[in-house]
This record gives sequence, C-alpha cells and structure tokens, in this order.
Amino acid sequence: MRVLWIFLALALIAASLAAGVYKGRMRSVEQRTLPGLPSAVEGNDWEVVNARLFFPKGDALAAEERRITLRGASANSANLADTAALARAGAVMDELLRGPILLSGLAEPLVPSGTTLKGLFIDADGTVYIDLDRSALSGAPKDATGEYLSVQGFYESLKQNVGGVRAVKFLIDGKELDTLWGHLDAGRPVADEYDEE
Amino acid sequence: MKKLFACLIILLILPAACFANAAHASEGDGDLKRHAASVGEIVIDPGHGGFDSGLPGEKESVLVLAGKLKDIFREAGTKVALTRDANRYVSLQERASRVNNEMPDLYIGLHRSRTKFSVFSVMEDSARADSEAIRDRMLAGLAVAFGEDAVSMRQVPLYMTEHIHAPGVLVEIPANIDLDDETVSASIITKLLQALEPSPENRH
Repeated sequence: MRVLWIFLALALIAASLAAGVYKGRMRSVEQRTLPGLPSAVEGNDWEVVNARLFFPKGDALAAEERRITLRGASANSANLADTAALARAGAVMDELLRGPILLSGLAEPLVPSGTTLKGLFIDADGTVYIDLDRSALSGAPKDATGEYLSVQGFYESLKQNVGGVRAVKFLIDGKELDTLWGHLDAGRPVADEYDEE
Repeated sequence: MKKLFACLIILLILPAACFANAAHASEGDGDLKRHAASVGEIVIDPGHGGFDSGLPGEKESVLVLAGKLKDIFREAGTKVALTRDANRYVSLQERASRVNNEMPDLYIGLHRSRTKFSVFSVMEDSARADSEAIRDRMLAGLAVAFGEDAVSMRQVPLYMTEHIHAPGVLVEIPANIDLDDETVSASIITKLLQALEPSPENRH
C-alpha cells in the first residue's frame, strides 16, 4: 500500500514537471512569434494587389509598381490593430527586402540582399517597428543622403501601401541603435515631419 | 635664333609668373586667417572612426582634414577642440554632448559622400539662421570651385544637425576627391573658411 502511495506521489510530481516544461515551451514560442509576421496562413483567402515600392535612385527615391500577393489578409484593411494590416506590412517588407526588380540596375536596394526581417509590429499610433538582422548594416556603407533615402524608402513604401501608418522605427537584432549608418538619429521614428523642408 | 629668343622669353616670364602666384597665395593666406580669426571657438568633428569606418577611407581622410583645419584656426588664435583626434569610435551622442558642453561659436562636421559635396546646417532655432547663411556661402563657394554639378543642395536631418545648439554645418566631401592632393585639400579648406564672415575688427 505504501509503495502504491509513493508511486502515485512520484507520478503526480512527474506530471506537474512535464506540464511546466510544456507551458514554458509554449510561452517561448509565443514570444518568438508575437513581434514577427504571422507565420501561418489562416484560411485560403488571398489577394493580389498593386504596391508602390520606393528605392534610392541617385539622390532621390524612385517608385516601382509591383503586384504583391496578400495571404490571409484583407487588402483594404486600415485597422492597424488587426493582423490584416500586419500581414500587409509584412508583404510590403518582403518585397522591399528583395530589392528593386523593374528598376534593377537603376535603383539601389534599401539594405543588402540577404537581410532578414526578424520582427514586425505596429502600435496603436501607427508606428511600424521594423526589426532587421545585423546584415542590414553590412555591405556597401552609406553616406548621409544614402542613409536618409534608405529609411525614407521603408517609410514611404509602408505609408503608401498600409493604411494608417504614420511612422517607422528601426531595430537591429531587437535593439534600438542611436544611428544605423552613422548619420541619422535612429532613436527617433521616421515620420512626415522628418522630411526635408 | 628663334629658339634662343623663345627660351629667353620663357626665362623672363617664368620668374614673373612664380612671383605673381606667390603674392596671390600669401594674400589668400592672410584673407583666410582673417576669416578663421572671426571664430573665437570651434569644435571640429571628423566623422566615423574605430569600427565605424564609413565610406572606404573616410574615417582617416576626414581626420587628416580636421588636423589641417585645426592648425589654421589655432594659428589665427581660435580655440579649437576636436571630437576625436585618433582612429577611435565616438558615438553621435558623445559628439553632440561635447559640442553642447563647449557651446563654440562654430561647429564643423566632416564626412565623405559618394558623389557630391553636401553641406547640412544646424536646425536648432537659435542657431538656424547663422548656420544656413554659412551653409549657403559654402555651397556657393564649392560650386564655383568644383562646378555646380558637383554640389548637392539637398538638406537631410542628421543626428548632429538636429541635436547641437551651436551654429554650424556638417560638410560632406565626395569620395572621388583626393584629399591627399595638397592643392585640392587647400582649395576645399579655402572655400570652407571663406564662408565664415570676418568679424568687423578683422575686416579690411
């Protein structure tokens, strides 16, 4: 009888330990996916829309029209709180990271090819937080105008293609830097008043 | 006979030309000193440094140019400080704090650009008008010396021009300009200094 009680107690301890490990895993999975793009496509709805993407060309930005596919998202959503806006922003980001296609050879990519989007988040005020990996800062260095055009390229593309976007803020590997390429203030979100006068 | 005559003419013209050039240079030097002397205190800010290389060769070349400017201002009696005097990393925050602690009469940031000269002016309200006036004179001088196509009028809000309170400008010199060439670097320095208005007691 005593052996049975000991066995039951051990089984209870083992079960609660296993539950704790499982819960911890779930939490870490949630933390990884929360700031990022919705990885799973919910439902089968998809839509092809036109997007205007901006890339540096000389000392200005040039627009490239591109057809992009939105999956599991309503293209007309302007509600930043829902996943549709985030999915739309994510689709735009994916295209921006591919660099210019129609303007290939004429315009420059915003960041080096191979740069990955580690996370994307939109707050209630319409600020898009773009978390890129460190390879964004590798490759050809930028002068002040080049740095300005790169951050403006992200901002203009997101503003024009995702309703309600008012600003863009950059993170590198989840961290805020005082500058990206040594000239501009990366602590301040890029917004309309940031534009030249 | 003709050859001898030509040689004689060359021998006569050459020293005269050299003398005229030297006289012009010394007049230019005096003029530049007057411009430099109009600044009581300056902070010169060579961009990048350490692991932050900027464009190829940028962190080294702007440091050399900063050293040349420092010597000219010191000779003119100006108090000079540099945000870095060696190849080391200084954050933008540290640079801006340094300038704001010193509160000099003038701030000059030095960078390189990929293609064109740019001059960005300090945007702080109290320093804005003076900074824009210096910027416009620098751009005009650089356009005369290097051609209008070599100069960009674009203004971009930079960390330094947004965070410092002293009048000043951040100058970008194209990467294809060889700053090791003494004539070229002297020409750039001349245009930068000529944009500073001599103070009334130094005007002649």
